[in-house]
Amino acid sequence: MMTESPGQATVAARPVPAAGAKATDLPKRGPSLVVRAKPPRTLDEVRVNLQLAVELEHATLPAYLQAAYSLDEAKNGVIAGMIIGIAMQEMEHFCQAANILVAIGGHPAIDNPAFVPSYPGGLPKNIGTQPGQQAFIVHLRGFSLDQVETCFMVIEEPADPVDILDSAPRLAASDIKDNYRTIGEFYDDISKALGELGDGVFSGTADGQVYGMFGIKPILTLADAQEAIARIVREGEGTPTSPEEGTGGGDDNGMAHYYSFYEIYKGRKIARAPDGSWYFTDELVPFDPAGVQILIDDPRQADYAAGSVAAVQSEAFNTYYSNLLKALHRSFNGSPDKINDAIGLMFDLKIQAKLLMQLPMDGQPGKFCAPTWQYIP
Amino acid sequence: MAYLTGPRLNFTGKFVADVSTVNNHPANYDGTNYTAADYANWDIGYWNPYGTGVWRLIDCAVTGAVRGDGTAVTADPVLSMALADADDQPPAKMVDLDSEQQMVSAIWGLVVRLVGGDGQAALRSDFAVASFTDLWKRSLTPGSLPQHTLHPACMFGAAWQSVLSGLAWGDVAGSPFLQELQAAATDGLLSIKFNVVGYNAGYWIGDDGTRYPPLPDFAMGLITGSIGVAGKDEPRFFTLGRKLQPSQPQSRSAPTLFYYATAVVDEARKALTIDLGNSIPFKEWRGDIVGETLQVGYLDSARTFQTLGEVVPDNAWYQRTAGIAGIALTDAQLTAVAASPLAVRRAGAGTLLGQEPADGKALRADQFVFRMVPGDSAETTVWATAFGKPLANAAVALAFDNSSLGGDGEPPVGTPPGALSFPPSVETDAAGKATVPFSAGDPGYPRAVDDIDGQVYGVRPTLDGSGAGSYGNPWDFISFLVWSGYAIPDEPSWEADIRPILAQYAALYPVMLPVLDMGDYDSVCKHLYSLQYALSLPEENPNYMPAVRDLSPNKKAAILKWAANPVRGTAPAKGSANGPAAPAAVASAAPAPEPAFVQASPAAETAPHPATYLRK
Repeated sequence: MMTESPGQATVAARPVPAAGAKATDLPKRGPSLVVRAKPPRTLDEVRVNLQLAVELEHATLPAYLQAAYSLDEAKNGVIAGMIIGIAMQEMEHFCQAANILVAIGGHPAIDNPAFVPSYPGGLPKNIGTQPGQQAFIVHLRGFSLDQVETCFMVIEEPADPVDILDSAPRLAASDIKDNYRTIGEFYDDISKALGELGDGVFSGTADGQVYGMFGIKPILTLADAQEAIARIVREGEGTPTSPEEGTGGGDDNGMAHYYSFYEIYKGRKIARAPDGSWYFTDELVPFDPAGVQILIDDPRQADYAAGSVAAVQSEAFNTYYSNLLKALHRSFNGSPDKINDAIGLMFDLKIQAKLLMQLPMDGQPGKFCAPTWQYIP
Repeated sequence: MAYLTGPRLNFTGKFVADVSTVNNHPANYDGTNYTAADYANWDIGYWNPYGTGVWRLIDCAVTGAVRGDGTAVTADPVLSMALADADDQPPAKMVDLDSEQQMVSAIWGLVVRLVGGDGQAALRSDFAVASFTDLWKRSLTPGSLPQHTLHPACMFGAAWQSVLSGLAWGDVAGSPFLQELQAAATDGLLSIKFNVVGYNAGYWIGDDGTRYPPLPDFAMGLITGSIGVAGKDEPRFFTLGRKLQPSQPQSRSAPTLFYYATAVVDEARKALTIDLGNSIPFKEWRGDIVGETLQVGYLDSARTFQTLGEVVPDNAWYQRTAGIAGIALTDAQLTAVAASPLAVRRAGAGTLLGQEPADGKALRADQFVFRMVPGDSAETTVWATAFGKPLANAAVALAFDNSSLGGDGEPPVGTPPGALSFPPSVETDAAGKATVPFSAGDPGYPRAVDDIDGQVYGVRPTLDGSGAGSYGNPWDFISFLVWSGYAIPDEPSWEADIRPILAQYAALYPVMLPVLDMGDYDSVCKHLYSLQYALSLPEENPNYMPAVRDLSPNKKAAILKWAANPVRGTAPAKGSANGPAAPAAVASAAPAPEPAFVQASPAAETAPHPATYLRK
């Protein structure tokens, strides 16, 4: 547990709420996102939405990991650990959604260029902003508090940020029928539709599913699927009455993703007082601005001169990233053991990212090269 | 045999060998050599301290193919295929045997695929772990290489040969050539051999003192090779055939104009196939291959050169054929070459570039790199031939030859000799082969001063009666790393047992540091699952932690035992009982009994071993 004593000097470099202060000032500058998807009814429609869920869960990973990898873990290990914890949960959700899809006879499609977001741009086409709001653009950037606030918290905002919200819900109801205000609602409808379809659509076998890590169990029945979906929603957004995701969560303190980012942004952990209100604890989330590698924004492979070390290292990163997606694709399409290769590739990916981030960027003094997260077929 | 017989395809492209170089210096093993500033400045060990160990194929394409009947394939989908490595698992890794034997670097966990334009693999296969050999200074001049501090490895070429197994054929219906290759691979094995040259290694130092990797293609080189059919009863790591050696003595000062080559004679087809793929130098680094017309022939009974065919090398020829030439023989020539030494010369020259020895005899061990723990047994097969035919009932002598291991005497190599045992001689069977058993004892800690585990040994097999004029290849010895005995602690703790092991890897493989600091308890605990997983895989799996392929099995077991109950414990007082932290005691240990073997003189008579060219 990190306490106030270490890193006090650097922590003091930014305003951090006092311990004990009410945690009711959630900032909100970004737009509110909606998921454009039809509530599913038929088995085919549920499969389509589960495929979309797999894409959504993956879509945040490049942005989150770019930020996490830009942090020097010796200086900003707490924040890096929190973000990587969140990313790992997205991977868990990815696997859960893919397993449910396999369990109802679907075939997750992961190994194609369309699966991968491009930057600036970001989330899959089914994610958009409310009518009348400015389009939400995801930038691929190194870590900054601004990126946490204006990108990560927007992505993770729950439907109803419960009672730590200091004002009325900012989410205008969507004008477009069938749009979901959050990924949680989107999942809830999948769960409902599966309930309507009943146990009969489940193969009842664990064959072809990937389980064992992240506490994932095979999906054999409707109940298994609905429990898995409830866990995804809980971990991602918290329950409607608490930001704590309850037991079984992965990231530290069991905070839903939105609130974990909020803690990073504010520099302090939050907890619930006996009277039910939310307050900042005495535990800091220290941030040392000197422990961030300054990366170029929205990098592309073409930004690196052909034959340069950066181009070679970036190409290697993209190869590992693409191979990771291919390994995941094969994991959920008949070769579950391939998940071990996928896990191995995650290590190669991180090492390669860290290598690339050490290379000074040509023509941009003070900035460093960064992974471009592009798919190589 | 192997890729020189039957259908064969050729390929060319680039490779990445992102080797880690901190472990090239024995002084770096104790982990105390460098400061934080050194790390920041890349000033931590040779030219690629942050190497990942990754070995990959890059932009490799099939350039040519030859049918089993020797005719060239001119139109077949295979000619537009790519040769690629894995697309769904971690990249292969290249690993040295030891700081004192860096000349048998092996590729682990390589998948080789043939991929069509549609992205579909026509073939997926597993490359059996293999080490390079036949290393020589192949680029005669640096040429356009613009770099500042040129690493000698840039100028060198070498060759790998291995087998591909686990063949998974895709849709080859459109390719008559691949159908022929598949049908010919009746043992489920293919033979692969490739030559590497034009590697880019080294660094340059900027005005601010920072070290920078040189352009272009840092840690990459050129690769050209072939894939053909392998038989289960033939050597995996070399081709049984006729062995040509350089006719001129090798020296450090004079350029090498020809290097070792293998040829096979197909009597049924009346043809000679010779692989000159690692034999002809390049005029300059990544420049043109030396283009003088070569004549391939034999020496008749009067020692007169009789030409069989000509080869006109240029880069396009090299890339298309991988340096392999097929020459049709007349009946008379077929008869003549059966008992006459093959030779190669510059067209019309009075001297030879390369030749078989007069007696046509050659000997080679198949597997030539071993890692052993005390108590281990291992065996290799040595194959004796005369003019390419099995040499039965030949006596093969075996003796230590540590002459190409190590540096300037420190750390010592090959001592104590008693830690590696083998028979002084073996006799070949009717197929010309003999099994050589090796057993390992405990070498103790002869390199405790540098905190390097175990000891390296070289063993050279030679045909009885070998002498001046016989075939000899300085690389044809067998390398061993015998790890120090290590008792797995009953209750290993981090401070007493595990940190001393893992901290070394943190120092040797700094590329891991931002991800996992193996010298730090908290960092290791955080990644315990990954560590357990990586250490539990077979060593040939590319997921296997690249950093610790030089970790002895017992130390690995100790780490895994500890990981199941990762107690921190306390550091023992200096010089306490456990493990290698007792150099004084080791240095005074009773010498192991001397074996009954004498040191063989290096086969290449007066010439320095080529390994000396690359010494630090």
